[in-house]
Amino acid sequence: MAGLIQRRNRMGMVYTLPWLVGFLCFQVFPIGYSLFVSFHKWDMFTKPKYIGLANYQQLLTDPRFLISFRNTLLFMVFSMGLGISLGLFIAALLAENIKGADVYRTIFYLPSLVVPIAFGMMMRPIFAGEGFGLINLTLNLLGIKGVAWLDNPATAFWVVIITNFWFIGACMVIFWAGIKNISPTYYEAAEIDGAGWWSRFFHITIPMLSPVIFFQIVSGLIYALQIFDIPIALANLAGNYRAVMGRNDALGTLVFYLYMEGFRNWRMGKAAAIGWVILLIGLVFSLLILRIMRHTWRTGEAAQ
Amino acid sequence: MESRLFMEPYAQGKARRKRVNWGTVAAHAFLIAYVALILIPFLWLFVSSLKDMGQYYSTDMKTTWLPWPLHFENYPKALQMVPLHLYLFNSIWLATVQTLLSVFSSALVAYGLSRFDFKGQGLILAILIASMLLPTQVTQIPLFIFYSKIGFVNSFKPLLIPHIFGGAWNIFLIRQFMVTLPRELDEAALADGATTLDVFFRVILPQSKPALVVTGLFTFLWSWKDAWGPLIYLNSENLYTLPIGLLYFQSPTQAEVTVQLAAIVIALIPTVIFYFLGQGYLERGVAIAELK
Repeated sequence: MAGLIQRRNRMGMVYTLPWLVGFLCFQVFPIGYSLFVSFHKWDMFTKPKYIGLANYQQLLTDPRFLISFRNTLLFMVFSMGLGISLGLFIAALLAENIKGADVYRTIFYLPSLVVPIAFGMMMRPIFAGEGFGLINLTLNLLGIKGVAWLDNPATAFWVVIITNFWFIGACMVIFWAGIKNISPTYYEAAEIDGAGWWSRFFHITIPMLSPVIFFQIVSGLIYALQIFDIPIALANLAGNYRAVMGRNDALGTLVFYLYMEGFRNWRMGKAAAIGWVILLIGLVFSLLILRIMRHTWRTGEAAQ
Repeated sequence: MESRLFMEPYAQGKARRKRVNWGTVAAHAFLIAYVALILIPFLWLFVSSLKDMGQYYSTDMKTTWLPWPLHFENYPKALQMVPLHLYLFNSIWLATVQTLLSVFSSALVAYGLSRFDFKGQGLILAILIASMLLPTQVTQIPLFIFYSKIGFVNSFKPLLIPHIFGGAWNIFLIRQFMVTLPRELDEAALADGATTLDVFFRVILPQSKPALVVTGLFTFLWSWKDAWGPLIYLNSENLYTLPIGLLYFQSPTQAEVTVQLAAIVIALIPTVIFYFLGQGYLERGVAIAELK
């Protein structure tokens, strides 16, 4: 009987094999091979040429890479920092029994279902530089002179950051469900002690939710690191045969740049190097978040 | 609400009823402002999709929001200029096949990770969770080289093959659900002489339906929105999915932006249908996905 159970248990291993095989073939091996490619100059048509670390050295002084790098970090700060805080705040408001909470929640959530490419493309004319763009039109009414949002390198990437605030509904619903799971007795006790809304928000909601917040920060990091579709939609790829990431490359992000170098300019080695930079940034940030959150995570568990 | 009732004896009857709760007013003001901000671009899109170019370039608020006459012909024009129905079909076909492959394989792996005890199970689970943190783009250059060597570029194959092996997020989500099913279910069936594969198909799979539907919906949604894979691998127009079909939308005259806006409106319609069909499940998924 024991032997039978053991044999059955071994079947469990067999069922996990598909994923293990996929993991090795589609993640481990390509990541390793990517490192190999990144040491070469290769356009897919001729033979790869070994050039050592030259691709990485080149990136350090490449203005297009530096813009993309800066933009990705900027996006991380705003989408993870401000976006997640705002999502949490709105979730906490909607978890109160205020009138119309369901309607608000639906409207907040709907844009997260929209194809980001389509959404970016509809934001392009809204941020149009000429007077007819909705933003500039409204600013003119208020007596403020509009700017060429997408054509001005100083403002272009802010359009991406602003556009992303339409997508915070996705993280908001997860926070909302988390708050709904917190036992109401905590809030009742706090209310009897005379704690106000903000005090309850900071002393009950946030600590009790810390595992969910942690999860959201990590997935927000991965999302931010890979941000690509809003910028390409805003950059108007259709009329763009010169492989430019918006005017003066101002809309570049790391993944956008990887796409341009790899799949428009066929510089496979350089694109692989960018891929590795993205991977390393992801690893560094994950470890950093893990270290910072370890403390909060524990207190969150203790509170439960 | 209950806590309010509880507080009632402390309140001063009449005086309390009259007092306006400024906190609630502020909350509503904030929410209404944000919701309005969210809706404005969509309203603008819809109104602008009915304009001609003269109305579109108008700098007058009234024409911007209430153009007259309305140009409904933008919609048939959009459908004529680009084969939107074909893109729509491609998108739905691709998303459906990706979803079916991924959910089935993920369920099988989740079954292995949740209903058995074997050496290294914990390790595999840890690797699985860690793998969710890997940015996928780093793998794309080698995979593209590989697929182009075997001639799979410009077909749906590179977009489907990875899903045969299951997805880490889906496996994790389904596993979280399967762990909660009582062990007696499998044991009773196994005692009757069923194989573990029988148990999977006849017992565990039907029992896990809520988790399967939820992961299915999320995979479909991911696939529906995905632009990266199709952008890299699909080159001929008859393979385009909706996102890249829109991205490469070019009217012959290059000037009819409003027709393009009409095409975007058409592309948004399935999203709304999707939401109202899947509403209950999307929220249920949030509950399962929660790391508790």
